[in-house]
Amino acid sequence: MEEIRIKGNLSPNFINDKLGPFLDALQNIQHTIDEINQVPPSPIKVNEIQWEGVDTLDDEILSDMPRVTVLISEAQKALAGLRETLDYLNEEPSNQDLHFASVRMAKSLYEALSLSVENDVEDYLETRYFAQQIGKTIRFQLHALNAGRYTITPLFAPDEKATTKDAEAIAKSLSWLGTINTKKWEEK
Amino acid sequence: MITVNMEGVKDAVDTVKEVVIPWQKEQAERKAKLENILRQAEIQRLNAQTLTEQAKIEKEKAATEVDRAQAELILAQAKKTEAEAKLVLGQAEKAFAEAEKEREIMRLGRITLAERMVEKYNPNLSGAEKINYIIRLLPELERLLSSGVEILGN
Repeated sequence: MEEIRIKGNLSPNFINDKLGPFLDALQNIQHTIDEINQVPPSPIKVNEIQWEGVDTLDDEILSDMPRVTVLISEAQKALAGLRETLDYLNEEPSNQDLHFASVRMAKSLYEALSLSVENDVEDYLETRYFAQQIGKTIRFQLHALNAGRYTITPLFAPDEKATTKDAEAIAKSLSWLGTINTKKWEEK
Repeated sequence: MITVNMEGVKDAVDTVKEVVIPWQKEQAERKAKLENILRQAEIQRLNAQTLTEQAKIEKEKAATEVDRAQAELILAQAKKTEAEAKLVLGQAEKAFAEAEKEREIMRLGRITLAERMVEKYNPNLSGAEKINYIIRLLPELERLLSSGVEILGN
């Protein structure tokens, strides 16, 4: 597995305008190299995208926005909780309690992200933008993994509330992170 | 900073690190030179435009001047300004042409880059095969380089 550390100017459409084309180009270069080497095309998969700098932002940009800081922190906790639940679910795929727990975690993750964006932060554009980026990053990651390619379409509008169905979709998509055997999930 | 965990792109990532990034460093000076030429050319073009406007105003002023001697003096000044505008515009055009030449060199540089990438993996390809792969790599390199995303070292 390759771990690529990248940097770029975090413009508002960074995911769509920069990261997406960058990953597409990387994928096509790999396929061309495979052809040059006369080997079958490598199966390409994004396992995880981590957005670093949250902790430093807490001290800098978010210092005067305690509520938003809490919401983002809640989102991070929910994400960690969801991953943990999915780990357990991987071990016990037929456990309905774990299934519903993961859905609840996914829902609280999405709601924390939505609230971060919807919170009264109109005057704090950097904070609002940052919160959106977290949401977009996670959505991008889920969608990319779910679709098995790098098509970037947001799963939800920023102001849309997550329904249980949406949360299930998130949880299912999160299973592609490698913590869950997808086949087992499908069979359930 | 963003960390992406991916599978299946090892060769592409290695190539970017070993071939593309060093090439970008080589090209950095040329890119800076091109940007400087373009900036200078744009300034000259604007100066030429201002001088042309000024010459026009001077001509109009000369046409309405009652005193013939004074009118001729203003007209002479207008012609001088007009000549200066043409000179500056010529310099701007020369600079734009130089910028185009630099761009062409950079385009050729990208072809060399794609060639280096192909040769890294198979130096024994026939000319036609090599060209085929270079043509396929060029738009991807363009996308990669224009994304503004940089791969960091380990």
